[in-house]
Amino acid sequence: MDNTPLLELVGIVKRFNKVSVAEGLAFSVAEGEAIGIVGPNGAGKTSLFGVISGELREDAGEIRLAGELLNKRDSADRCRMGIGRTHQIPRPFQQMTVFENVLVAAHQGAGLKGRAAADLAASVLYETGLYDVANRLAGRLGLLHRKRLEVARALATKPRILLLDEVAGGLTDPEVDELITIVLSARKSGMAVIWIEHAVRALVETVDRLICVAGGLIIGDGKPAQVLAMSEVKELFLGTEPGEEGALHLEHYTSHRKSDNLEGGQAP
Amino acid sequence: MSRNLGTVSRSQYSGYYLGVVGSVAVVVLAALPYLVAQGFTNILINLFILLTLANMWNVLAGYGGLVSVGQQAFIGVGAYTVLLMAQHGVEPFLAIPVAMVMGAVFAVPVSWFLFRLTGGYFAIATWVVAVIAGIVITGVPSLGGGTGASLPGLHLMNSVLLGALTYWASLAVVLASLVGVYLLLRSRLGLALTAVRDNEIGARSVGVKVTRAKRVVYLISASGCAGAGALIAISQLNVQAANVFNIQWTAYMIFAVLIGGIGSIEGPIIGAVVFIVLQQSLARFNAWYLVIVGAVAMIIAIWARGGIWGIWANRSSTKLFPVGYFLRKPSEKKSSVLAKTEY
Repeated sequence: MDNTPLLELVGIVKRFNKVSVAEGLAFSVAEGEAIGIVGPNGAGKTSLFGVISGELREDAGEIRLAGELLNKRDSADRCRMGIGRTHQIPRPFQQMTVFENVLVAAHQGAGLKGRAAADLAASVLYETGLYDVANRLAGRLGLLHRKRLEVARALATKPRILLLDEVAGGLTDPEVDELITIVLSARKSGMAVIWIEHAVRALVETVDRLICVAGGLIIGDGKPAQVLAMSEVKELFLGTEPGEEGALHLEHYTSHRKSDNLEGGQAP
Repeated sequence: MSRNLGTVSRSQYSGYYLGVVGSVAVVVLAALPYLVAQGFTNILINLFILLTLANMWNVLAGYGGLVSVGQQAFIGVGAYTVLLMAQHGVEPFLAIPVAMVMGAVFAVPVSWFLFRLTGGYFAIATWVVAVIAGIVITGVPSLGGGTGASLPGLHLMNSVLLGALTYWASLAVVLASLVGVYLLLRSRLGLALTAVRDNEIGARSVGVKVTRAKRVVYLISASGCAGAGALIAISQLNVQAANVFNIQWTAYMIFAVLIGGIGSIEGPIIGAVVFIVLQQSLARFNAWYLVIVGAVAMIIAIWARGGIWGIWANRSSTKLFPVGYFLRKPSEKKSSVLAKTEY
C-alpha cells in the first residue's frame, strides 16, 4: 500500500454564527497512531469530533478515511466504516442493560450477529471493567462506569480509529490510570486513537503526538513534550484565560473534576 | 475467544412462562363468546381495537421517536379498503389482511414526504395528511361521500354469529400486532430501535441507521392502524369519513400509551385496559367521565412520567416479554436451571 493516512482532514472550516471552531484545520492520523488534542474550553475540540464522526456538517473542507471521502456519509455510515466515538457527556441507552448497550454497537457498528456479537460485547465489557455490571441498567451507573461504557460501546463497533472525548474528565487519579490501561490495550490491537483531554498526564502516557488547538486553529503539533514546551501553547494556557484556571489545566490536570461532574454526572 | 465469558439468554426467567401463560390466555379469550354475554365481548372488541392502536403508536413514538397525531389516516385507509372490497363482493373479514397491506403501501409515499420533517413539524404534517385523506375520500360518491356508507355483506348474518366472528377477528388482529411487535423488538433491529428510543444521537454513533429503522416502524404502525380501521368498519357495519379519520382515535391511543408507559410492550396493554375500565365504569357520569380521564392523564404525566409500567421498569430490568439480552456468567450457569434460550 501507499502512504495514504488512515484519517485525513483538509481545510476544515466550521462556524457557529460568527464563532469559528475550525478555521482551515488540517491534519492526518496514520494507521495505529495515537494523537492527543488539548486546548482551552470553546476551542472547537468537541466540534472537531462532531465533524469527523458526521454529527456536524462542516462548512468547507474534506474528511477522508483511508482515502475515501466521508463528507456525504452520515454518522452511522462513518461508524460502520471504522470511526468509533465517545461523547463528552455520556449518552448511555438508559433503560437498556450495560451488556445490551455494548451489544447493539457490536450488531450495528461492527456488523456482527448472534454468538459473534455476544462474544465481542462480553470481551469488551471484560476489558473495560464493566463485566461485573453487565446486567445492570445503564441509567443506574455512576460517572466512572458511564464514562467506561462510552469507551466500551465505541470499542464494540470495532473501530479503525477511536475518538475519545474527555473520557477521563471528573475521574480520580487511579480511575484515570485504569482508563489509560484500556486505551493502551486498544492501541496494542492496532487501533488509531484521537483523545481530547484536559488531563494532560493521561495524554502524555498514551499518545505519540499532541495537537493544541485554539480559536479553530492548530497552535502546536508534534511530540507531546515539544508541544507542551512551545511558548505559544504555554501562553495559551497561562495567559488567555484569567487567573488560576488556565494555569491549572497544565499543572493540575484533575482541577476540572467539579465542573465535569456537573455536566457528565448522574441525570436526575 | 480464549476466556469463557458466559452465555447469553434472552430473559432472567424462562421464556416458557410467557409461552404457557400466553397460550392459556389466548385459549380462554378465544372461548369467551361461548362463555359470556355478547355485551362483554363487545367491550373486549373495543379493547382489542384500542390495544392494537396503542401498541402501534407505542412502537412509532416510544421506539421510533415519531410523534404522529395522524395515525387516523391509516385507520381510514383500513376501513375504506374493507368497504371498497365489500362493495365488490369480498367477505369483509377476508379483507382485513388486505387492509393491513394497504396501510403499509399507503405509508410508503407518505413517509417520503413526512420524513423530511422532525418534531412538531412532523406531528402537524401527519395530521395534515390525515385531513387531506379524509377530504379526498369524502369526494368519492361511490364510497358514500360525506355521509358514509354501510358495509354490505354482513347484514344478513345472524347477529350472534356476527358478534362472535367480529370478536375473533379483533382478537386475531390484536394478537398479530402484539406478536409482531414482540418479534420485532426481539430481533437485531429491535435492539437498535430500543437504542434509538433511549438516545438517538448515541444510537447513530454506534452505527444504527436511524432513518431506515424509523421507516420500518412507520410502515408497521400504518399497517396495524389499518387493521384496527378494518375492525372499526366491521364492528360498526358502517364507514364514515368523519368517524374513521377523526383525530379522537389518535387521542385515545396516545392516552393509553402514556398512562400505561411508553417504550415497552407491557405499557400499552396496561394503558388500554385502564382506559376501557375507566370508560365502562364512568360511562353514567357523562361529561365527568372526560374530566376524570383527563385528571388521570395529568396525574400520571406529573408524578409517573414512565406510566404505570414505568414505575416497575425503572426499578428492575425484568420484563414480562423477554426481549432483552442477559449475560449469564460461567459461574452462574450451573445454578441456573431457567436459562433455556441461549444462542
